[in-house]
Amino acid sequence: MDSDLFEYAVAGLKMKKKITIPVFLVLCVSFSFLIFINSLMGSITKTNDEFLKNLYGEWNIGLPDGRTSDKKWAEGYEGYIEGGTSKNYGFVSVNKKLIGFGTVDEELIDVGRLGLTAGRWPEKEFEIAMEADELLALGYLDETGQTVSLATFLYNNASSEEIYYKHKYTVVGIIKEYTDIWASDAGENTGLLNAVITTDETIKQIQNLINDGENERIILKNKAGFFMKFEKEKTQTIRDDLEKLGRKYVYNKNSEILIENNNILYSIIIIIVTVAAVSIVYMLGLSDMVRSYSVMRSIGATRKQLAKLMMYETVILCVPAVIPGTIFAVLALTLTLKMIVFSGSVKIILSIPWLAIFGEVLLWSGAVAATKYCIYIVACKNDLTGKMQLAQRKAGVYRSLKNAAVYFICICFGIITIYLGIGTEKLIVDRNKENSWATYRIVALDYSVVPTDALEKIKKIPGIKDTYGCYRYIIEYAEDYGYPGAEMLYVTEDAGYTEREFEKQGIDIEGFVNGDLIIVCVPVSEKEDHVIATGKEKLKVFAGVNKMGATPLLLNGDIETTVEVCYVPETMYIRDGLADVPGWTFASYAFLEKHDLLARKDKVGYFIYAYYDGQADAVTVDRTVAALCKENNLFFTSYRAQNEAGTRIVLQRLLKLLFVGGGIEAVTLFLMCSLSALERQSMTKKYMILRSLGMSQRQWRYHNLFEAFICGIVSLIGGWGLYAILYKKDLTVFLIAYENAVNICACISVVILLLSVVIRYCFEANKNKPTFLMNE
Amino acid sequence: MEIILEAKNIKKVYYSSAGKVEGVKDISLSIEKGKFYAIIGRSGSGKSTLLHILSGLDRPTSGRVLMSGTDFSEFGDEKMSLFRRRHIGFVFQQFNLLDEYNVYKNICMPLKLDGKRPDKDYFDNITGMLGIGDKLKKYPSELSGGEQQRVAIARALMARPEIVFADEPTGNLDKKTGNETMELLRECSKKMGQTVVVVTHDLEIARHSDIVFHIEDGLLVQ
Repeated sequence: MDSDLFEYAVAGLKMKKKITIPVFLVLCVSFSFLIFINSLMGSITKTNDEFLKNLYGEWNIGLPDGRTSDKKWAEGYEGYIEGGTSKNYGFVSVNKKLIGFGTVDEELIDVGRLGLTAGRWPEKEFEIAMEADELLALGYLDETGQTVSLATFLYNNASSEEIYYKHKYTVVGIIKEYTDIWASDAGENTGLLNAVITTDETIKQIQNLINDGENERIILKNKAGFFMKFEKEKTQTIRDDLEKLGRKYVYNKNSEILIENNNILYSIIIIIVTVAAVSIVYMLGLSDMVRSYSVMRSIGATRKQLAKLMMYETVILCVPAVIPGTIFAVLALTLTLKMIVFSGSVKIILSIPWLAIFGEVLLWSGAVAATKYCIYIVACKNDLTGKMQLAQRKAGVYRSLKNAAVYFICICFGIITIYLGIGTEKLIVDRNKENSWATYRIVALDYSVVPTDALEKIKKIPGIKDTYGCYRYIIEYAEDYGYPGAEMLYVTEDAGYTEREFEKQGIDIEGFVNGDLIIVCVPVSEKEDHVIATGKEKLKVFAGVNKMGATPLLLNGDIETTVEVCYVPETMYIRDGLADVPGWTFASYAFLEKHDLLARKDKVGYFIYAYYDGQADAVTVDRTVAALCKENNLFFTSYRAQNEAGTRIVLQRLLKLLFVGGGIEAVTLFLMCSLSALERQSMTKKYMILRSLGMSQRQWRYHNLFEAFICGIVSLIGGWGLYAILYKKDLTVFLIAYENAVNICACISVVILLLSVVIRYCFEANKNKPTFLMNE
Repeated sequence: MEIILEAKNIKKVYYSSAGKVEGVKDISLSIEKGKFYAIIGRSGSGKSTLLHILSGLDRPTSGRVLMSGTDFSEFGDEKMSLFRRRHIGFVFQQFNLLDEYNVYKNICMPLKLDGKRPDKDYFDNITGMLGIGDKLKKYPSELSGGEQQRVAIARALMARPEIVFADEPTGNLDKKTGNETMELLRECSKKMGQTVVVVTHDLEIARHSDIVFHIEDGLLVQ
C-alpha cells in the first residue's frame, strides 16, 4: 500500500467534510437498511411458512386411498423425503356427522405436524386422542383424563356393511384442529382422516372382542391414506405421473414456502434506491472533486496514482460503513421482529439471507466503485489549466444529470407511496374479509331444518355476533357437469339469513323471494382450478365467495350477459360480461332448472354460519355452541383456526409492507431532502443573481414554490404512470373491486403532491446573504 | 446638470472573522445624469462596498442614498427589488449569468421579473451594438468570457435603467477584450443617455471617464 497516498486520502476526506460526512452517512444507512429489510422480509416469510406448515402440515402429496404398492412406489420416487400413514378403520357418528377413527404412525405425526393442545398420544389399549370440537359436539369437555363412550362403525373386510361397536375410551390427548382443515384444503375427496386417534393395540382388542363368541371370524378393514413430503421441484413431476397412472391424489400447496414475488421486487427496489442514494451524493460533489483531482494531475500525479487515491478514499468510507451497519441492522432486526411478528404458537424465525445480502453488498460496493470510476474518468479528461473546474461543455451534461436525478427520486417517491397506500388498503380490506368468515357452520341433516328456537338461542350466545343461513346442496351433480367443487345454494327467508351478509358481499337482494334459485358458479382460471357455470335463462342469483373447497361463486343478475359484483379473492373481478375479465378463460355454461335442483336426493340440508365476535372466551363459546347443537340434534364445525391463520397471515403481510415499504419510502424522502439540501449552494448563487437583477423575496418564494410544484407533479404523474405500467392488472382489480379505491387513490395523490412540494420548498435557498459573497 | 444619485454620509460596518471592518467610513457624493464615472482604488479600499451601497445591493450602516430624490436606503425588500430592476443596471466582474438559460432569456430576465415584454427594436439595437445578436440561442457555457460580459452588459441595459453600475467589468477579461468591452459600455451609455459608474483598478479606464472618484481606506480622497 502506498502509505503517502493513503495519508493524502485520509487528509483529503477530512478537509472535504461537506461531502465526506453525507456520503459516509448514506453508505452507513443504506448498508444497514439493505441488511435489515432483507432479513426482515426473510424472517417474516419463514415464520409465516412455519405457521402455515403447522396448520396445514408439511406434506405436499397425499394418496387418500393408498395401497401398500403405492407407498413403495412413492418411497422409491426421486425427491421423496418422508411420508406418514393414516389408517382409517371406520367412523364415529357425532350427531350424524362422521369423523374418522383410526391410527396414525409417527411419521404422519411428524410430516403432518399433528400436535396436541393437551395430554399425550395414546400408547395403551383403549386410549384415544381426539379433536376438541368433536369432544364438545359429543357433549364432553375438551379435557384429558375423562372416559368417553364412543359408538364406532368399523369397516368389515368381508362385506360393505359397517360393524357397529360401542366402547369406553380414556381420552389421554386433545388433538389440535386438523381434519377439517386438511379436508377443506385438500378437497373432501381425501377420505376420512382420523379425528379420533387410537393405537394398533386398541384395534386388535376391538377385533378380538368383536370376534369373541362369533363363529365366523370378522376381520376389520382399514383405508390407508399416505401423506408424503417431496422436494418442491419434484411435486409437479409426481403429480403428472400420478395423473398418467390414473391415481387419485391431493396436493397441499400450503406446505410450500411462500416466497412471495414482492420479496424479490423489494430487494430490487432496495438495491436501486440505495445505489441511487450513494451515486447521487457523490455526483453532487462532482465539480469539487473534479477540480481537486485536476489540480493534483496538473502538479504531476499520474493516472495510476489518482486511481489509487480514489480507491483508498472509497475503502476508507465503505469499510467503516459496513461493519457498524451490519451490527446495527442485526440489533434492529431482533428488536423489530419481537415487536411486530405475530406467530402464535410458532417461534419467530430469525433469517438473515447472508448469501443474498453478500450478493447485494457486492452490487452496492460495485455501484460505489463505478460512481468513483466515472468521476475518475471525468477528472482525467478535464483541462489542467484555467480554473480547472468541470469543463464548461460537461457542466451542461452534469447539470442535466443532476436534474434527472431529482426527477428520478421524485418518481421513485411517487410510485413507492402509491404502492404502499394501495397495498395497505388491500391488506386492511383483506383482513376485514378474513374476519368476515364464519367461525362455525351448524348443520341439520336428513332434510331437516335448524329449528327456529335453536337458531334464536344460537344468536343469543355471548360471543356470537351474527348468523345467516341457507340450504346447501352437495356437489355431485355439479361434477356431472364437469364442475367439481361447486356448491348450490337455495335461499329461503325461513333460513333467517341476514340482509347485511349479502350486502357485505355486494349482493343486491331486493326482489328475492322464497324459493328463488341460486346457482353457484366458479370461474375457470388460467390455472384451471376454478370453473364457472351460468344459465341461459334469467335467474336471480347472487354473488359471494366460499373459501371452503374450490372457491365457488354466486352470480347476480341476468346470467347470460351480465354478471355484477362478483368477487374472487386475490385476483379477479367480473363485471359486464364474462369475456372481459383479463387473464381468465371460461368454460361453457351449464343450466340447472329449479325442479331439477329440488328433486336431487343429495340435498344436504339447511345450515347456518355463525360468527364469533373475537371478544368472548373462545373455549367457552365453543362449549356453549357444542352443547346447544347436541341438545338440538345439530352438529357444528369450527373454522376458528383457519380464520385466525388467515387473519394472522394478512397481518404479517401488512406489517411487512409497512416496514419494508415504509423503510424504502423513508430512504426516498431522505434522498429528496438530501438532494434539496445539497443543491442549496448552486441555488444560492442563482438566488443572488436574480436578487441582484431585482427579483424580490416574494418573487423568489413563488419561483421556489413553482419549482417545488413541478417536482410534485412529476412525482404524481410519474408515480401513477409507472405504477399503471408495472401493475396494470392489480390497479384495475383494485379500482373495480375495492369500495374506497377512488378515495384512496385521491388521498395518495394529495399526499404525494403535498410532501414533494413541502420538501423541495423547505430546502430551497431563500436567505439573504451579503452581496460581496456573490463573487466567491 | 441634473443630479441623478446622491449619497450622504454613508457608512458601512460589517463583521468578519478578522473582527469589525469599516468598509466605508463616511462618503458623500453626487452623480450627474448621462456621465461616465469611475471609482478607483486599491484592493480592499472599499470601492466595491461603495458600489453595492449606491446600487442598492447592500444597505449602509448609516447615511442616505437618494436616486432622483427618492431615498431608497430605507426601502423594504419588495420595494427595493422593484426599484432596482426598474432603475438600476448592474454588471459584475464574474458576469453572473444564469447557466440554465440561454442568452436571450438572460438578457430579458430583469423585464421578466417585472412582468414586461422586451421592446423588440430596443432589444435588437442593444444586441446589435454589443455584437451578440447571433448568439441569442446559445448558453453561457458556450460563450467566451468577452461574449459573456457583453451579454451581462445587455442584461444591465435591457430595462433602460437610469444608472448602470459595473463592478470591475473587465477584471476577468484579457486587455484587448477588456478595452473592447469598455468601449461598448461607453458607446451604449452615450447612445442611450445612461449614467454609468464603473469600479476599476485600471487607470486606463479611469482616464477615459468623465469623472473619477478615488477611494482609499473607505474614504473619498478626491
